Amino acid sequence: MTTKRINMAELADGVAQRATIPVSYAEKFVQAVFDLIEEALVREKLVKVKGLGTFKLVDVEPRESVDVNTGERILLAAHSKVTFTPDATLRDTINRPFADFETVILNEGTPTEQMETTEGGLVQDEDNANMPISAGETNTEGLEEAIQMPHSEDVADVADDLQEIIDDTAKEIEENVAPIKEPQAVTSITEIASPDTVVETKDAESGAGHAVASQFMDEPSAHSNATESVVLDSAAPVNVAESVVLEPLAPANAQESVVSEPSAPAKGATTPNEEPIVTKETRNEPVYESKNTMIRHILLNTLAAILCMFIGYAMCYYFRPFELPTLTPAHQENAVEKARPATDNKTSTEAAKQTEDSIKAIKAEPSPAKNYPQLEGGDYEIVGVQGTEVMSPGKTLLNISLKYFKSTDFVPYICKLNGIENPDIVPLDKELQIPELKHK
Amino acid sequence: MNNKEFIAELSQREDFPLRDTKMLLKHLIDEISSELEDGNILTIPNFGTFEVKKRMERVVVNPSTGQRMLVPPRLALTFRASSALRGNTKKGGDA
Repeated sequence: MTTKRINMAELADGVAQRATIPVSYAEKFVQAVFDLIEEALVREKLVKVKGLGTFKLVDVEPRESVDVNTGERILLAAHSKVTFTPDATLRDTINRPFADFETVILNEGTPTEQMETTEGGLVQDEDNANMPISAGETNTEGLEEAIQMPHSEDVADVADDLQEIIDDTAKEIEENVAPIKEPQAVTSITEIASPDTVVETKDAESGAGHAVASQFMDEPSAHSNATESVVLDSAAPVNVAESVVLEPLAPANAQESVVSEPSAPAKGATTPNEEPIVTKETRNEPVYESKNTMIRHILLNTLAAILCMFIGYAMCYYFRPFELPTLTPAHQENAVEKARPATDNKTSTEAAKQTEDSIKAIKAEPSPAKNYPQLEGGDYEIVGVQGTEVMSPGKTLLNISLKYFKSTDFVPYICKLNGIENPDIVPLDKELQIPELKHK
Repeated sequence: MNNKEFIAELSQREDFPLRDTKMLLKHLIDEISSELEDGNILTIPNFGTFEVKKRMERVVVNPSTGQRMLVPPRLALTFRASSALRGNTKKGGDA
């Protein structure tokens, strides 16, 4: 909808086209219409044109005002002004895009200020959801600022700032997990960003590891594998440079070692080398320092754990509609359990892959037999018979459905396949065929 | 002046049959309304400007009951008389 200024000539053109009359005629007519409205206004103060609206002359009382330029008080004389009220039909036509909105009565205690802020928050969330990596970027930007703070020995300040940044981004990311389609991407960002944050604080403190920091920032943190190795690499030079590297690195390493064990033995080899150095140096630190880092350490771990739980949950939710119920419970628990102790995205990606594979396997199952009765409007189609069940006392369609499909929702399919009209009446000793289902 | 009188006088002036005037006026109004619906600004020289403006949603309070209501956003047609029209009506409006 581009705004365009329409003048009378264009209007006349349109009228001429509609009425199939010469343009000159139409122009004359349009001119006459508005002339007449003006004249009639002057004469009768009110003109009603059906389909357009009402033009009215309203008297304005004389009033005092102030000349904005001179500041003098002046008297505005009584005069008339033209008002226009659009016809109901025209008003509704124009308002059509918003016609669905209705006036809402607000309940008492609905805080309007909060509504405004949540709106703003939503917009932000949307932005972040579109670019999950941007959260990580803002994080590193904030870090840069913090690092650029003069190498004052004011460690506490730097640490506090960073803690704020970490918390903020972690929260943001947590909020974003739900709308984002691929939660794994987010995990990699947080997990990599959080431990490193701490590493970099310490770098700033010692004034040694700027190169390391920038090296990390150059990595766009796209593939979890690649970034993990960066974390390890960057950790190594820090140690060699004998900068004060510290406890927070330990959780990072600990996490890495847990992860790398199954997939990359080479990494596993590097980790043990680093860990002793780390712990040794920690001992040299003042007590208050290690307390500080301890708290941060705990915070980070809990954050990571919560995130993983959240992602696990989101994944269950996301994959559910595509799965046959038989598979759902086992794999979901699997994914959650795997994600929680490991505190790392890799295992969750693996779990995700597994689930995806199993879904593919199910989808790929070849049995396109079309000669079974199909339930209309169902999400699944009957592609075969997986077994039979003889009705005996105590057996119900519900518990049969539960037995074969882990859900009572599939009774209609059993009924359909066996031609049962009324699911409440099934003859004793009737042999039921259990359908094999495939998601449409 | 209502619609009937308006059309009557218009047909008399233009020397058009009444029926044709009605039809032409209908076409004119259709054209105006379709242009405005597209969000275009309609400027009629020596008369005024028709423009569709968006009114934001807002919370209103009923002063007697204190009840608060959220009024939805809407598109409103506004008209601003040109200075020529304002000048003419200022003079003649008192009559």
